[in-house]
Amino acid sequence: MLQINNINKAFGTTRVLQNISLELPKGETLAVLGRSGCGKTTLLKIIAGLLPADAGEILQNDQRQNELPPQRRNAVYLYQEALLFPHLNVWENIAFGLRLRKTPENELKNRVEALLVHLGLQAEARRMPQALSGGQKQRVAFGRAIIIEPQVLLLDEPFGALDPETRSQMQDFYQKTAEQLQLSAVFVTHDLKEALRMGTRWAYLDQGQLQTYPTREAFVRDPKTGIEQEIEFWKNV
Amino acid sequence: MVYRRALLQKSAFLLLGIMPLAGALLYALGYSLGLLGALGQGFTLRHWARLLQDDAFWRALLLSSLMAVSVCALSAFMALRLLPRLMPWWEKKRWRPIFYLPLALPPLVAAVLSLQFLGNSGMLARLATALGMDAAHFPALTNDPAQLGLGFTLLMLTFPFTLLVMLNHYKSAQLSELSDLAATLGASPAQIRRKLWAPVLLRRAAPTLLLSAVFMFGAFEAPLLLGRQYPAMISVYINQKFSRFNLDDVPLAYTATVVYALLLLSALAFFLHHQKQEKS
Amino acid sequence: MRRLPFIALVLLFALPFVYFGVAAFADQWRFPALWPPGWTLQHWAALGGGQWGQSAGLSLSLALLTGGIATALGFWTAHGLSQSKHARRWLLWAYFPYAFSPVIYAHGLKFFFNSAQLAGQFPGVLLGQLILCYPFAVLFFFSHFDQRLREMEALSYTLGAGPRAVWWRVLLPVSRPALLLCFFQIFLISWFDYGLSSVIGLGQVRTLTVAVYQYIMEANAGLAAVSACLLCLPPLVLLWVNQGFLQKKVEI
Repeated sequence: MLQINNINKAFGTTRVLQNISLELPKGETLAVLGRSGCGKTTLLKIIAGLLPADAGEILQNDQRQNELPPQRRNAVYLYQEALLFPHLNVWENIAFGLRLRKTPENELKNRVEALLVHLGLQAEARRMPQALSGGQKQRVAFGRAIIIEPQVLLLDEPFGALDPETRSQMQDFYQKTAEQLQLSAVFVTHDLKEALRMGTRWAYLDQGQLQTYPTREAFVRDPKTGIEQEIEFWKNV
Repeated sequence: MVYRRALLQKSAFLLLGIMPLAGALLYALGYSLGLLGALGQGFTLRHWARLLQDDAFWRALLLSSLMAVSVCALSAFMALRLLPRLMPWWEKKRWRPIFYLPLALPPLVAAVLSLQFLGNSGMLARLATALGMDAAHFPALTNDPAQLGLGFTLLMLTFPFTLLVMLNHYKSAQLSELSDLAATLGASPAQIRRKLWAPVLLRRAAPTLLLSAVFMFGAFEAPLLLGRQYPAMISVYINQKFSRFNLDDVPLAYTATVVYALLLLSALAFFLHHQKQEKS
Repeated sequence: MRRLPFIALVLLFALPFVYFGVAAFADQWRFPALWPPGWTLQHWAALGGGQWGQSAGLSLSLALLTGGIATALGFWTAHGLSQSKHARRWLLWAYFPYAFSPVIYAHGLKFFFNSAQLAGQFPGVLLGQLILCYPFAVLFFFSHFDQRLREMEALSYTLGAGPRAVWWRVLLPVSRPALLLCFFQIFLISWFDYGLSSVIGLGQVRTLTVAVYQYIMEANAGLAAVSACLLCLPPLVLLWVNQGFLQKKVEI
């Protein structure tokens, strides 16, 4: 379980995060809704260990993480862009994390092959990243992250650069995978629909302050999130 | 670990990138003020006064500036004029290496070539003789008073590079699409070239042109072989002062080095400031 | 008529190579002959043990060593400097030595090289060229380490890669084309250099460019042409392999 207590972060005189606290039990996805510049990326980078927090505590399974470098936190950060390694083919991109952990060749092969099947990318295994479509790239990026069984996935608008149809397919894919593999994730987005679809828990980040909601209903009802306004709009069309 | 590496990286840059130049310039400054070197007899402004009264120094600065500015301006003008005529060939991939060919020519070899073509017994003089002209009347084009041979060589070194930069920018600035748009708005081909291509390309190529001018200002090989002893370009002037047997010339050389460095630093500060503004 | 500018361009751009190609084999090509009266391999005969054979070897070793060391060091340094708080200030200090006239720089450094007894020596010229080319490498890689590469680096850390693995398994292989490009460009800066090599080398380290200058001063047109051909050879090969290798990325 991921637990965050009173995280603060400032860049110069600008306070980017103020007393952020949250809890994320195993197998849940916390959807964080927020506009651009609200501090979403900073929050994820602090959890990943890519930025230090000025104050506060990050715990994973009750173990303090603050002093650990990113490579020892087992929290994978995924960007909007797939960022596949251009010198490795699909197979090797997925195997990257296992090779770092010196996983025995047999086990490595079995796990990569199995994941390729799950991702529906067997036919593309030997292709180079440049030859893939946007959705395929994003699936490889997912595969590369989940194969190392991270404690938590940190998703920074991962489908933001995809066209609406591919985006919707990827949302389905993520939901299925998260359920099947019991993934824990913080999913940051500025898209209302995506937040509602992807989350099993919800939060709203605005001007560095995070508000978490006990239920989906509470999230929908809060006028700050703008969901009710949206519903109203569609009703009146 | 990360901080230690960053410190090491900065130290390496200080040690091999900044310190040699800073050392050379501090030494030159010390020398120019009479504090260092074989002739150092304590603080004096004598060398500075002598340099500032040296006609050859001012003429070297003037000549270098004029060469740098005129060569870069002319190469930009030529590139802009020729661009529409050359574009069809540039777009055909198999002709492209031709455009890059001059980049394979070292500046010294270009200077030697000019010497062998423009000199009194060079290819042009041979051609003139073959056409019945008296060799004695063939005009001097190397080490000539108007420095035409030098100017021509510097132009031949700069023009291909400027042309390439503009050809590359033509695509990145989407000038082909913008030209179509301008035509539908009623612009004639000449207007498109004058009011669209020229301002867009010159603006985009400005940083490269400025850097080319900076390099041209300090050019050495071509002026050494094709220029005159007086007035010489600044690199040749400083080189002459360093290489002469008259020991009294050495402090002048160091003083001129400090002046050159100050001018260069100002040009670069202007360049980076300009770029920062462009980006913001 | 439409082809005229292009034909003129081809003639002008190809002329140097054609001329030196002819002059290198010309025998007794004296004024006012327009075309060589005969052909000879005599100028090339020195290739084996002759002077310019040694010069070519010297220039090649210098260019390879300068290219290799400056590229590696520049890559490593730019990685740190480009993410520093004062990146733009560092940039100015990289531009300054890069844009400095090599011959004036060399004269400024000569005192230190004399004191260290490096002037007139191969290691001295090598160090001089490194001092000249290293800032170029830093500038080159400054823009290479862009946001995308930084994010890829950060992602690799979160996937469990330590600093060593990030360098060897991600940054270096991903940057292979850029490393190659930088290496070849520095190779050419070193290969083309005359000003610094002549001053720091005191004329005793006879690189190809120094040799060409000496042949011209001796009015030895044949050997000068052979050396000029040799000087043009590596860049022509690079042009044949990939024209992009020749165009310096000076814009940041």
